[in-house]
Amino acid sequence: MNSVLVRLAASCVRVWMRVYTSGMPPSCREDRRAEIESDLWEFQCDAAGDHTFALAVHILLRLVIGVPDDLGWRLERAAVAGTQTQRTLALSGRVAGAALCICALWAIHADANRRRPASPVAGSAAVFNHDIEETRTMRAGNVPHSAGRRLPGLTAGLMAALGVSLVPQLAAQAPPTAIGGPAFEAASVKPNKSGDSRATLVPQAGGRLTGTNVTAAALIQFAYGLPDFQISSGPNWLNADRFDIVAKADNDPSVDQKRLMLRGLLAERFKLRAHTETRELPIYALVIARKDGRIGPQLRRTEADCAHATPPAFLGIGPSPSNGQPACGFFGMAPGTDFRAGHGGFAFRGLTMAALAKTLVPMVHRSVSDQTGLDGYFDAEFDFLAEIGPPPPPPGLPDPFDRPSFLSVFTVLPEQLGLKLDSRRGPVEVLVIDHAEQPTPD
Amino acid sequence: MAKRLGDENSRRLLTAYGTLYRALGRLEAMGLLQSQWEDPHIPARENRPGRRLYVLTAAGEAAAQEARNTAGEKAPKRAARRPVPA
Repeated sequence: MNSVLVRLAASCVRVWMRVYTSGMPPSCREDRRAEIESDLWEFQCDAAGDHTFALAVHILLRLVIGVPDDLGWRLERAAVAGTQTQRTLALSGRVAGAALCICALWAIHADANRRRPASPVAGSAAVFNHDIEETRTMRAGNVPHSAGRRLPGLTAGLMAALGVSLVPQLAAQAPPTAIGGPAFEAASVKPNKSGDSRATLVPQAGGRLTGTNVTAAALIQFAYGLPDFQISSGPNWLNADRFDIVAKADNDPSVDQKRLMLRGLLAERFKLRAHTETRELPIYALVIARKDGRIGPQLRRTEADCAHATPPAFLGIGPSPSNGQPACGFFGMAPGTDFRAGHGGFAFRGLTMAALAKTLVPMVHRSVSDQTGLDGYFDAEFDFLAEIGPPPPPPGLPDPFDRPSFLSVFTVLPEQLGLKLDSRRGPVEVLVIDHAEQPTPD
Repeated sequence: MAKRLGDENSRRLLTAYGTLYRALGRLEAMGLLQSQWEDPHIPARENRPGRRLYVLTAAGEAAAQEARNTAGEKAPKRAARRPVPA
C-alpha cells in the first residue's frame, strides 16, 4: 500500500511536470523531464529503508512547494524564447488556476487539522519540513501534527485538483506548434484509392508541399522529422490508407517551417494528438573501429571551412554542390560515378560525425549516437551499400549495377572509414500517437 | 544535492522540485555553474535515469566563498534575535 502511495506521489510530480512544460521546445521539456526523473529515482534510492508513507508525503511537499517556481520558470523561458504567445499565456493561466486550486485545497486541509485536539505524534514526525510545520502550528497556538496524518486529505486534494483541472488539459494537449503555429495558406487532403505502392512527398519551391499516395504515418514522420521506429501507437489505418496532399504557404518557407505547418495541418484535419516520451530502446553507437584510434583510409578531415558554411536544409542523399560553393553537408554520389557503366559509390563532404550518425539512421532503422569522440568535419568516399544503393534505372532499361554484391553498411564502415556501429541500449525520444481520425473532406 | 540541502533545516524549502531546478538554471545562466548530462551509456548500463552533473565555475567558487563569508558575519546577529512569540 505504501509503495503505491510513493508511486502515486511520483506520478503527481510527472503529471504536473508535463502540464507546465507542455508547448515548450522539446529540448527544454526533455531536460526538465530528465532532471525530475533522475531526482525521483535518486531520492527513492537515498531514502530506501525509510518509511514509505513519509517518503510519499515528502515527494508531494517538494512538488507543491515548488509550484510557484515551476510557473515562474515557465514564464521566464517563454519570455526568453520570445514565444509568449496567446497560447502560452492561456496555458499559463490555466496552470496558474490549477495551482491556486491545489493551494486552496491545501489551506483548507491544514486549517481543518489545526482545529483538531492535541494527540500524540508517532512514526512520521520526522518528515520533510517538520520544523516549518511546527513553527506554523506553534504560532497558531496549537501543538504540531504529523504531516503523515494529513496525507489522505492532501492526496485527495491533489488528485482532485489535478484530475478536475489538469488532466483534461493534458489529454487535449497537442505537440508543440500544432494548431496555433505556422499554417499553410491553403491545403487539400484527399483519399487515394489507386492501390499503387509508390508514394512521394516533396517540399517544393514556392511554398508548396505535395504528397502523392502517402500514408498518414509518412506525413507524421516528415512533420516531426522522425524515422518510423520513433513513432508509436495510433490506429492501423495510419500505415494503410493513402492520401494525396497539396499544401501551399503564402511565402517561400524553409523545409523546417513546412514541417511545422504540416503539424498544424495534421492536428486540424486528422485531429492528431501526440506526446513525446523517452524510452530505453536498442540503439547503435558510432565508434572508431580500430583500437589505436586511427580512422579508415577513405575518411579524412575536410579542408573547407565548414564551421562557417550554411548547413544544408536536411541531411540525406542530395545533389552535388554547385561549383565554387563549399561542399559542406553534402551526401550523395561520389565523383566519377557512372550510372550507364554501372560503377561508382557514395561520398560525403564536410559532415560532422554527429551528422554522419544521423544519415545512418534510415539505413539501420535505429537511433545512432555519435560516440567517436572525433570533432570537426570530414570527407569520405565509399562503396554503394546493400541498405541504400544508386537509384533504379528508368522502367524498361536494364540495371547496370550488380546490386546483390553491395556490401552492408556494417562491413563498409569498418573497412573503408575505420568506424563501426556498436549495438547498445539507450534513451530514444518517441512520439506517441494519442489520437487520430480519418481526415475531414476538403 | 537535494539530500544535502534537506539535511539542513533552514534550507529544506529549497529542495522543492521547482525551486531547486529553477535556481540551478539561473546559476548556470549567471555563469556560476556549468552542467552536462552524463554519458547516456552509463545510466543505460546501470538501469537508471541519466544524471545532470553540475560543477562550480571559477566565478561560482568566488560567489560561494563570498556567500560563506557573508553568512559568517550575519550569524551572530541571527543568534541574538528574540524568539518568535507563540
